[in-house]
Amino acid sequence: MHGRVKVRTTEEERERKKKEQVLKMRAYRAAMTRIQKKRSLGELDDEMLGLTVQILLRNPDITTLWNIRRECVLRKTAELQMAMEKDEARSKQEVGKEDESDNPKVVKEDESDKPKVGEQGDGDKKAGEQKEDGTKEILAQQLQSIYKTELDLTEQCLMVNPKSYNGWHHRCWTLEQNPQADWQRELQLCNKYLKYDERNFHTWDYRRYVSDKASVPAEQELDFCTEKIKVNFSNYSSWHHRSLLLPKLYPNEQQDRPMSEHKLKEELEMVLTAAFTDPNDSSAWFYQRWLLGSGAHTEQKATVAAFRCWPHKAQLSLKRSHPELAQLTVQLISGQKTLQLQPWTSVNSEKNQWQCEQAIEIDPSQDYFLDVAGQRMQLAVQPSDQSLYYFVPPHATS
Amino acid sequence: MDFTTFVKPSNGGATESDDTSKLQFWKHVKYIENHGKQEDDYEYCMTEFLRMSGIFWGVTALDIMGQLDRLDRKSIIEFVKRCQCPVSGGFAPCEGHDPHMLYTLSAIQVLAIYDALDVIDCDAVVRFVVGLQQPDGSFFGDKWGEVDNRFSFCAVATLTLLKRMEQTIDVEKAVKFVMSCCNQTDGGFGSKPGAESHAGLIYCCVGFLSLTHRLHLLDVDKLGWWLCERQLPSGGLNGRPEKLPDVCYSWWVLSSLTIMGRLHWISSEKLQQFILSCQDTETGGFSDRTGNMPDIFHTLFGIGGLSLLGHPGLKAINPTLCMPQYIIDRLGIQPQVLNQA
Amino acid sequence: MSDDLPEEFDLIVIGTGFAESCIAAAASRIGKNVLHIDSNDYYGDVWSSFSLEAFNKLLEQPSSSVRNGTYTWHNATEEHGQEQGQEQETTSWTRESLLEKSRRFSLDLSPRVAYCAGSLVQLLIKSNICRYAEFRSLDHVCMLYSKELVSVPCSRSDVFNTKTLTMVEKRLLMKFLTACNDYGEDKCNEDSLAFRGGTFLEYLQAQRVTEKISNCVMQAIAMCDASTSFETGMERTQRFLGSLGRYGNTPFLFPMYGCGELPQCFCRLCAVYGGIYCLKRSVEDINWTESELLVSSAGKTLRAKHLVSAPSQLPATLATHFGDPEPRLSRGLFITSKPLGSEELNKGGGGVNFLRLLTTSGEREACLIQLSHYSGACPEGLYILHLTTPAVSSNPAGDLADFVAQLFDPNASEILYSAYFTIAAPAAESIANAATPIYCTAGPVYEQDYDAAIENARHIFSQLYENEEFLPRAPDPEEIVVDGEDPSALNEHSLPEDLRAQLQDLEQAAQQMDIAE
Repeated sequence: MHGRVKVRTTEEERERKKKEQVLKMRAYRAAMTRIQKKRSLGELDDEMLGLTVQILLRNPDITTLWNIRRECVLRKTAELQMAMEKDEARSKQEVGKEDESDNPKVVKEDESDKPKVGEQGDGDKKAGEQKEDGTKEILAQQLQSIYKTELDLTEQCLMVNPKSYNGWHHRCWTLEQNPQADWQRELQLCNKYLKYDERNFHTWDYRRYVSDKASVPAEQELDFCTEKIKVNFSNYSSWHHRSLLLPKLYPNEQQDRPMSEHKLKEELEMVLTAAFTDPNDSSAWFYQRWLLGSGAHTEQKATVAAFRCWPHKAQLSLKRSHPELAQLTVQLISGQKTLQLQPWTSVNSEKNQWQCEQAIEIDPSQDYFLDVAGQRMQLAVQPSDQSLYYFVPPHATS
Repeated sequence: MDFTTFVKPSNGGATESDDTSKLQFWKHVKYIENHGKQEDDYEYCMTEFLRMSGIFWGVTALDIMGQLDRLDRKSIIEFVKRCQCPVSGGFAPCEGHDPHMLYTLSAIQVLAIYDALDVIDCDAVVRFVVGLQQPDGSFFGDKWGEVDNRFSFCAVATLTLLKRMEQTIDVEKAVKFVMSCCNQTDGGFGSKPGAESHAGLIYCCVGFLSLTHRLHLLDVDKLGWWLCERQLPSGGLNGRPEKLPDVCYSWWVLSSLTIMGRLHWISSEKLQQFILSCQDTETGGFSDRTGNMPDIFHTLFGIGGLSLLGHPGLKAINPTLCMPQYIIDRLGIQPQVLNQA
Repeated sequence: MSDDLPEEFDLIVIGTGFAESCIAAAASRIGKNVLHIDSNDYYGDVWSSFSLEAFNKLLEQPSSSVRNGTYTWHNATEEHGQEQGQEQETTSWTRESLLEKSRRFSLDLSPRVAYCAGSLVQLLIKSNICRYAEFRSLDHVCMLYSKELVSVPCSRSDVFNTKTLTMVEKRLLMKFLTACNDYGEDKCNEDSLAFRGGTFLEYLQAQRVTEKISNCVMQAIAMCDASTSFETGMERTQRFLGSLGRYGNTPFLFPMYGCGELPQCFCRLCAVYGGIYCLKRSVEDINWTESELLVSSAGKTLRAKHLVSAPSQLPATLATHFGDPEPRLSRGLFITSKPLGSEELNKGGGGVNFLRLLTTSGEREACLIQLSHYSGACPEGLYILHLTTPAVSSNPAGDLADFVAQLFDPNASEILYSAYFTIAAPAAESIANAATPIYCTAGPVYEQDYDAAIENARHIFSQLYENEEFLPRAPDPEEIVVDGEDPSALNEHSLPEDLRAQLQDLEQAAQQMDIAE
């Protein structure tokens, strides 16, 4: 221990950083040039995978490099599939001659620069008759290791940037390619990432995707949400996830609330506790408002404000605009007779005033009803011109 | 997590000083003008994968400031032309990269601003966009299958600018898919069905509905409430509850509220203060939050936000397409906007 | 080994207790030539931790600083009836089985916790000594409420999750703590102005909190009694709140493997900067001239410009200059097979829990630290209970009786071992008044954290080396630049490992392809 110690100053640190950036930039440009050259030559090989890794680990947002990797994976897996099929075909007619004339050649040609597959090619030749199962297994293992490389890479990239759309998508893509994907492992990964950032919406989206694939019971997901909320109730992501699960788990028969009365009470208790602990937390308020809101909000109901019909046309005025009126059934009913009114054309840009030109037989001595998508209202007769009308009662207007 | 974090939200409050109380107009012009002039700038080099969008951000910001002539129109148009993929018809962010929906919209926006849509093969662009629509109405970003509402917005925005919405894509299905992403809890939207509401995605979906004239499908009051709750004591807006404010959210939230006729639900004055506090008074440009490094992306959204708030000296910006309003008028396009309520 | 020892030093430090080690490290750090010796064969002096056997031995041989020691094996007689029990799942512990694991114990003489934002943690971070230490975040801060041990909520989530508070109480507690947290930020905070000069209890009562919350604040958060002033109570509350949310769920840390690790961290830094260490070396005599001190030790005379010592390690003739040691802390130590409190408080085998106690009359206080094997200080399945109170007599068991009675029955079968002892040191005034050129450290006092000890070290250091910084940041090994090297000359070897490899690969590839540089 001699020589005085000296702490690097920020000035020196800046200098160092600049030099580092120049080197990084040169490396990046050299690699990109090489990658593009190789791609134009169709060299989707291990070197290509190696080059893209170097850049992606630092910048996982470069979509094109992921595309190139997908091309490489598709090429490699197709080759392996082919080898596997051949292997299978050969083992079927195994009793006959050893048909090694073309199979190893194909492997050798295409995989000349891949040591692993090359070795396996040699193995093929040597162990012809006894290792057939083994060969298939080896090929299957190699297939899995291709997928594993991609999963490991995305995992590393997502550590660098957990919000990389590309990283997450490549992971999904890889798993979709693999019929033997381990979805349980993915669920663990979500747990890990959500511990690291409990609000990362990419991870939550991925979790929904994965739990669906892994057929995780909704109860289990709800428990997970509860745990997350216990850790920090200012977790809008978790309340949101919860809001998707509860209506499924505890459906409300009347549809006037998002979930059954019993569960609703429990949820209210929980969300009120959050609000009492910290009234500044907006997550709880949004959730509470949803709990107490109507469950029937899913449908955009067409509510009739006014209706009038004459012998040659009908006019309909809706409380809110509803451009899909053509898709609803609008009927005029009297006694046993039902008349379908159509087609409707809108007469204003707001799309809440509609008109239907149609011959309508009106008998003022009859009782008439208007039926709009199941809502029924009684019509009155206008004595002067014997038209029928309906007007929403004043107290019901909002 | 502790008692203190919510008491003192660490959300970079707007610090009042002479420099940040008013728009550093010429510094921003210089910042955008110089952006990318140094080919050897590290940040510039490492962001080539989104260059096309970078150009759109710069071009639009300068046009809003009435300084579009500072960039070389010809070389930009040439660059955009070179990025069109001869096979798919889509645009790449720069040469050597693959085409993608995101950069296709940026390319069309840049050409629309320069009134140069005739220099490219528009039919091929339409083919590219139409080819990415899926049976459920959603859109892929490119042939590799990522689904996201951002791409639904890009698709209809691109087709709107090309005036090719009619008889190309299945608009009904596209609307149905976007609406399937509407969350019952807050009336907002996420990137795909079931995804948590997020201001950026809300902008995409509200913008989508504005372009397809389907704004009546929104629960405007519910969503408007959630959006205006994004404003924090500092005046800045965040993208989701309990998050930090960010200048780009001032665009996403603000434009959505504008389209929905609810701009007056937030404090314009405080937001303006926040946006101005994110200016880099030394180099020009805007950062995400007060005191951070500026970038071209936040620079557009800072200036765009100020334009929506009616800041003097800036041209009007169209809230749906994030382009100068005079361009939208010139094209004769009318995205739907709700009346103030 | 004494033969090759140099004879001249800037500073000789006698005793490796907490304050002495701080001073040794601080002097060495600014380039002073330091000799650090201790008459014991271990580091830490009265701040050390011991194996069970060594601990018993220590109690059997009273010293000037550790005295009145007794220990008892509670289960020795039951040994007979437990023979079959040995095979059951729940191990029955005997004196023998405990002693067998003697070395797995790390029994502290002066245990304490550290506030996450307190002066110890700040000092460790600032000086970069933290890389020598490892801590466990305390699991629970507890209080006694109607004879029940309950966890004090230490975060919003705790408040949200706790079942001991009603919804309204949750709001009251959060509101109160928020107000305390904001206190002082707004100078003209009118609500609290009225309470200046009053007591903290008065302030608390005026907030109309429930009894349970009042208890929680007074006992555990503000650590007050009825007479504590408003200002002090507020300061302590803010100290508690300011340490939350930093490391783990509570505001406290406890050193892994016991508090005896801490003096050693400072010694390690001292050694890195060239300090020389000699254990088992006592000082026979000290003489001084105008300019230097002459220390006779193991037949050798060592010269030093300055001398710092723990009073207990001085030759008897000199020690009297600093006054007779007086009882400072009454200590109790229990080994039990069952933790205190509910299962909820000891989830997964328990961690480290803290409890502040008051006598029934409210006049005296004590603190309890309960350690499980997760602290690294005892074998799995056992728990150490450290009780500490300011000494009022030379009878530590008597001083602690009231507190023990509140906590557990000392005759209960799960109590396997108990020990009582007194930590003694000369009074602070006599140390201050001593007329020698020797700087004497103060020894442990009753406090939760290390504030007084650090202040003691800092004070002595400033007297020795006026205007020098006390423990400035020590660089990480990778930051150390050898003199003369041009730091801005970046060569490939100073690049991060992965980048270097990448660069080599790429440049190779680029060369093959004739890419112009």
